[in-house]
Amino acid sequence: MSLGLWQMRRLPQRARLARQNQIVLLAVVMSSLSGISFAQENDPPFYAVKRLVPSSGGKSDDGLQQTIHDVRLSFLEQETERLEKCFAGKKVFISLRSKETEAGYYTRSQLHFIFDKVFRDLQTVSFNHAPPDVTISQDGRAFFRSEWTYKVLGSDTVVTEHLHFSFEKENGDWRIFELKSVSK
Amino acid sequence: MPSRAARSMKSLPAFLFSILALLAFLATLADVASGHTLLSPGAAGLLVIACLVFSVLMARSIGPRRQPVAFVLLGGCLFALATRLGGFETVTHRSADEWEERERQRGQAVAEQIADRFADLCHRAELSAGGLATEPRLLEALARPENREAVAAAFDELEATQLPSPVAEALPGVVLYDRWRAPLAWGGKTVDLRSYFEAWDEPPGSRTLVFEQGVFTHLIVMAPVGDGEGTVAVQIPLAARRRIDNRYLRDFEAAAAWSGKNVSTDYVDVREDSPELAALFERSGDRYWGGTAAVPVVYFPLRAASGELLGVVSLMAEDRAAALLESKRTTQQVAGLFISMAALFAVVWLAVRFRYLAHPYCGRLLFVAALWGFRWVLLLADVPLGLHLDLDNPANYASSALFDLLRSPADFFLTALAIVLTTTTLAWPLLAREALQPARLFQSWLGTFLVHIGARMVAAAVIVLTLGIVADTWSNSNLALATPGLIPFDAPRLTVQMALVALWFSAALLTVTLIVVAESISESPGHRALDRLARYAVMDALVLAFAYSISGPGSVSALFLLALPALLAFDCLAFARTALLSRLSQGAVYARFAAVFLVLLTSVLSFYPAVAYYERDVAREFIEQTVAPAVLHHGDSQLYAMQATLRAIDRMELAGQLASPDRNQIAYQIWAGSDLSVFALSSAVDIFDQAGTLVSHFALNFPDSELEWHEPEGPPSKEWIIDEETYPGEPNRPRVFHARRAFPSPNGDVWDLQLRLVAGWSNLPFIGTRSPYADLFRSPAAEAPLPVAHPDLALYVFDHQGEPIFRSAERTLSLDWRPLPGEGVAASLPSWIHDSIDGSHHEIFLFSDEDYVYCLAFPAKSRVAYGADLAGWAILVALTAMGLLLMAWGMGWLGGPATFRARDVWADVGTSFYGKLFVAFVLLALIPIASLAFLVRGIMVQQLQHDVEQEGIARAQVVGRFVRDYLLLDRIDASERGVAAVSDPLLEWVSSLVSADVDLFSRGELVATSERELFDSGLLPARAAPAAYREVVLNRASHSIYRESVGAFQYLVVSVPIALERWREPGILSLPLASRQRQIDEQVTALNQTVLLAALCFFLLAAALAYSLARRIAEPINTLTATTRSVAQGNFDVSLHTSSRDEIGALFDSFNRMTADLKRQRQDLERTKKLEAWAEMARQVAHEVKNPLTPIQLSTEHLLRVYDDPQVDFREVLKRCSETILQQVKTLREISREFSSFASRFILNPEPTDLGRLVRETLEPYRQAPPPGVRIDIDLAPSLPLVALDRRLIQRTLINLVENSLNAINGGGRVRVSVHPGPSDDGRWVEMEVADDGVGIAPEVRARIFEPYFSTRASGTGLGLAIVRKAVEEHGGNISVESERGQGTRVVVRLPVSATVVSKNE
Repeated sequence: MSLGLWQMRRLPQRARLARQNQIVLLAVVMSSLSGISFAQENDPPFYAVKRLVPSSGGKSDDGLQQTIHDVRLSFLEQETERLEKCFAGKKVFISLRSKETEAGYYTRSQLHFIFDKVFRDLQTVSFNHAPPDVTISQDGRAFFRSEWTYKVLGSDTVVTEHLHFSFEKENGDWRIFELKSVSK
Repeated sequence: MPSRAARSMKSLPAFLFSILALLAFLATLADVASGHTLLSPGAAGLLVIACLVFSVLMARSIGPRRQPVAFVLLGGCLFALATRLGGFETVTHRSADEWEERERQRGQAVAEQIADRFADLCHRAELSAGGLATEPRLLEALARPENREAVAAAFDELEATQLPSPVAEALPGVVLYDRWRAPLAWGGKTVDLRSYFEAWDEPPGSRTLVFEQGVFTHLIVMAPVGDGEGTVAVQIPLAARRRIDNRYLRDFEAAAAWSGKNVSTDYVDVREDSPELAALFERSGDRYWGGTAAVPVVYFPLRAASGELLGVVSLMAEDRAAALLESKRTTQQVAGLFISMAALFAVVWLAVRFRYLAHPYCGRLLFVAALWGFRWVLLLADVPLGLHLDLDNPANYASSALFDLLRSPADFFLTALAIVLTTTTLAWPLLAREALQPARLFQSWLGTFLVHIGARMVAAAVIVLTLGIVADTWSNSNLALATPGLIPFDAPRLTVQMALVALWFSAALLTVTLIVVAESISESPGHRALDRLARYAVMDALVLAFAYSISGPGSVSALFLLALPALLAFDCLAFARTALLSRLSQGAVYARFAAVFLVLLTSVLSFYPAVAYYERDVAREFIEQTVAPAVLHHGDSQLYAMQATLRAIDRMELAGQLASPDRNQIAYQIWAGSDLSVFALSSAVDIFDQAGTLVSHFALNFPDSELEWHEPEGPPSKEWIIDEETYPGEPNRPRVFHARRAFPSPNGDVWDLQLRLVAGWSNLPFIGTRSPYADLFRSPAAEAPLPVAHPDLALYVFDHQGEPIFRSAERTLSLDWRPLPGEGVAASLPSWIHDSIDGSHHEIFLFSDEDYVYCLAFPAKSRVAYGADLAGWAILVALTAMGLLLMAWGMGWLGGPATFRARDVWADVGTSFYGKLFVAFVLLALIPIASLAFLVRGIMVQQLQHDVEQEGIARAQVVGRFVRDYLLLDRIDASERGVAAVSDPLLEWVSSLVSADVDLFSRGELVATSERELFDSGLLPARAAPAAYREVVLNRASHSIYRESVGAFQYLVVSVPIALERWREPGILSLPLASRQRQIDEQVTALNQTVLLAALCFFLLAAALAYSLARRIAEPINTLTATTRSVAQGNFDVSLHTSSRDEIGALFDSFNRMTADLKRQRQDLERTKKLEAWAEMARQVAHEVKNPLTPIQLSTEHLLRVYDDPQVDFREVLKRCSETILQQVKTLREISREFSSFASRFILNPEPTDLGRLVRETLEPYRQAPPPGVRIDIDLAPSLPLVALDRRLIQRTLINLVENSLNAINGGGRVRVSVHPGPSDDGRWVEMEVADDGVGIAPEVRARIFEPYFSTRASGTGLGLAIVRKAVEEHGGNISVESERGQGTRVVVRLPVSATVVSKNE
């Protein structure tokens, strides 16, 4: 359809009008068919909300809790090496507000040095999360939210940043493949 | 007479530079000591710059021994600069109280500044509004609104009005309203003030207010026109709200004048009531101080001229502790950088000055150790290397492969530089074969084979290691490394690419050195070069094939395949080594450049296959490991986002928000405050009141449809009802999650909040929307650059029968399912295939799950693009080669070895006929090629734009007819089509058919659009563009084309009229050609690449032709010049041969005849001269011998006479005559010895001699007993170098010269003998000078004094000075004489300072 429209300017006037009429009729037929197809849709299940199972505070998957524990310690102790091991081996998506790091996909090596810079200017005050904030999907992914509070070094300014972590299993261990700052 | 110190400085400028540098340094030091309170920043900066300049000039001017003093001054200045930049002293010199007072003063000053600027903006806006209010053309339009010309004139007037704006990128707007507050004419980008007019039905009057709509906050200045006939409203964008964090709004906010570091502004919307704020500022006198004692915060109001509160600015003071910490860190980093640079410079200077690098092992190893030491210092000091170019950002590149040495692009570059210097330093002696001798052990066939195989194995390991670094670099980088273009300028990318070039060069150098070492210790002469090359190529292949076979399939084995071209190329470099080295060391500047360029280019080309391989490999890996799983599991993330959104909404104070007068914005604010905006999900938020009326609505990338009203069930509760429904825009496909919750409204009713989220693939961040300018609305997740060079990643989804389900791109992909029969496509998936999509070659990754088959496609790189990349690499390499030559020149300029001088560049061309011809031909070719390239590109781009415009017009007209006809049909039978009027769903559907966005305006107001969210959010004005309205509606034009912009993104918009029933005037149908614009941009990029590549190819071809032509023309001239020089040196046995029959041939024939004639004449001349010489010799001998013979004859005759005379005492006479005879015989013998001495050749016996000491010893007798009235002075320079010379000959030379001087002093005078280094101060010559103040030599005599047998004295043979000159020349020196009659004579003997003296006798 779109190609027909594109090529239309090269056609003679009479042929162009004929083609336009055809297009209008075709469009009308297509819209009718679309309406019919809407009506015949039998609503196959695609994703259901129930597929997301809230974790009950670490009972469901000890490996995940261990990784979350490592993440928490990494932020509290500002240990880049420990945090680096929590990231997946493939490129990880990062979008942070605490530092002017452009959102993007980064390797473990890059993340090591990125968090070196992030931790250098900050002093973590707390890293908290509540059990409902950990969720495991039936597809084998986990999501986790936390409140990261830090103080800018040498300053009284305290900032709270809400972090969204996404985990997936890599060689049997839960690893972060996504880390974003979210509003709340 | 100048002092010794002044003499050592050699010039007055050096003395002046030293004094000035010292003074500037002392002043800088005083400023530092005073905590930078002595000088203003500008003065201190100028002083530091002056000190730097004077120090460098001083280093150049003074002798090498004093250069360290200059470097100390230089280092001091840099340190002072570091403290100044760090501000360390400024912070530490202030107490906490002083700091607070200073910050308070600063806050007050900034507050006044901001308030003044805001007042100025208001004033200028009011002036503009006031000016427009009295504009006759506006009055005319208000008086006759039905007159199109009058209204068009009003449009022209408003469009021509210059409006103030605090942000350059943001366009202000202006609207003329009639007495009923309906817009009559407008200009720029405007906002809709209907909600304001509805809420405040004030009489027309002047007013300044702040109005928030969508993401923008505007300053509105209204002025009445005439006597209430209308109102003009100037609208100036002030700020962007940061609830949606995207690039466009960030840029806008950064450019806004009312916010920044420690400053934030909250505006007071006209619809808000703020009595508390007004009271607060009334109490505090417009300055309210809050915050803490350490960090005070000042709040102050922004007011209109009428005193109305428009905003509140909060300005936080700078925290002293934070400032101190930051200052310390900055000072430490800057000082670390400067000290490291100075230390590195000192190492290089010491290495060059004291010839450490001349030593093959120890000195070089020491230099390398120092180099890496300073590399570590740079690392440990955490020196800032970003240079404000983002070079230290690991987000661009970082690898932990080599400790922390590769933690950023800048670190990678410095490490690569250190590697290059290391390999060059250590490999150079081996490359030049200085330290190699053929080993007998390896001279056999087997030995040679083993040595070469071993060398190639090591070389292959080096190349494979380099390839490993390349792979690591590509994996750990987010830069488009394969594309080395200079435009757009990307400093981090270019830095990494330069580092790669350096690494590749190091690998090439090491490999070539290994090959050369193998050749040197096992070289078996007799093989021709081609045979050897073929033999070595076979060995390369053998080694790599062996390694490949044992490594097995996989990524490691690919390394060995990729290593083969590099190894072969480096073999060729090794063969060309001699020629390259000779050009590097002795050639002209352009020949050196060509040699460096060739070596670097060969290195780059050798590794380019690896670049292309890893570029594709990394892209594929990213798609397989990251993108494909995200596609498979995208629903989970979206569900989680929805859960989080529901929780976030639960926490919101909805009732309070609904109390706001502008309810339209509530849905947007709910959306913006949730994960829906964070993840930029296709979603919608709707609020209905109890009667089912839509109160507020916002949607992103979510088509409107007939919204179903769900009547709230039961009392209000926070329980969400969640279900699924069909996505209206994509038949058959993705589901929509629908969440609904009832909640109490401010007036006690129960309202309904509905949230819908598309569980579709269009939410994936790396999938572009169909509306390119909608990208500007997306979150950072969508902005994330793909770590591949192909950003155009498209997703196609099919079911297992091959039916298309979803596509993210306009292009269609039709897979041929026949190759995947049987159990379905899943059996052979995942896999990579190549296919053509709409004629463009793509790489496609196929994978599946139980429901669908997915295709992720990106365009494969074309041959043209590869060619353009190679051209880019060549340009980068050329720049690198130029940089290296500049570095070499700079080192020479600062006192290092003078590799070449700047004027040599011009001299090389200017003194070479060939060079001139080449440059002239290249320039002649370059000018038309560049002009043609620009012309062709311009014409093609223009043609492209023209085609797009015509196509857009045709498209818009067809769409217009289509909509009109559709509505006509719809009116006949509306029930089947479900759309009773022009609505968003209709235009969304049309948009999907024509692959372009469609907007419809009536009376200038937006009626329907396919991209509602862009207008709802305020990114696009919901009013027709003034140009379109004026042309299409007022001027009745068939179409209007204009350029629209959102931020930096510009695109064409085509508008056509559309006449619909019941519309009083024609509507405007607009098609923003945004997606087409993106295609145009891509086509223009491809066109640029093609034109660049073609121009470069033509240029290289022209350069090759120029080279050939220049060579053809200049070569005979060069041959003739060389032959002429040979003839001039006495070689007449030369002749020129050419096959040319042209003028050059005739010239060669003439030359050959001339040399033949010259040879014959020379032979005749030689014969004649020989006879003359013999005659002269005979005459001289006869003359010299004749003189002593006469006394002998007279004495003998006298003896005979006396013998017969008894009266004479014969004994006495005999004694006297015998003495006379003996004396004359002695004279004869002396004459004979001198002749013999002159005729014979010297046999030198050189030995290292202190010339000064030799002179002192030789002249000691003269000084002990000088002739009466004569004074002999000796002046010897200190620390003269040892000179290899024959002591006896030089002593004799000196005595001869001194005797001549004594003879020239008639009756008394002074003879001065001095020894000193040569005047050029390059340490290669020593001068011995003998000067007197005697009678001098006449010019005609001076010309002949070195001729044999020439003498002005009656006695003597005239051979003395001839022998002196001969002795000096035998030592490789020369002699010169300066004399003036009556003033004296000065003879200068220049002797070379060389390790050995090669006698011509040997």
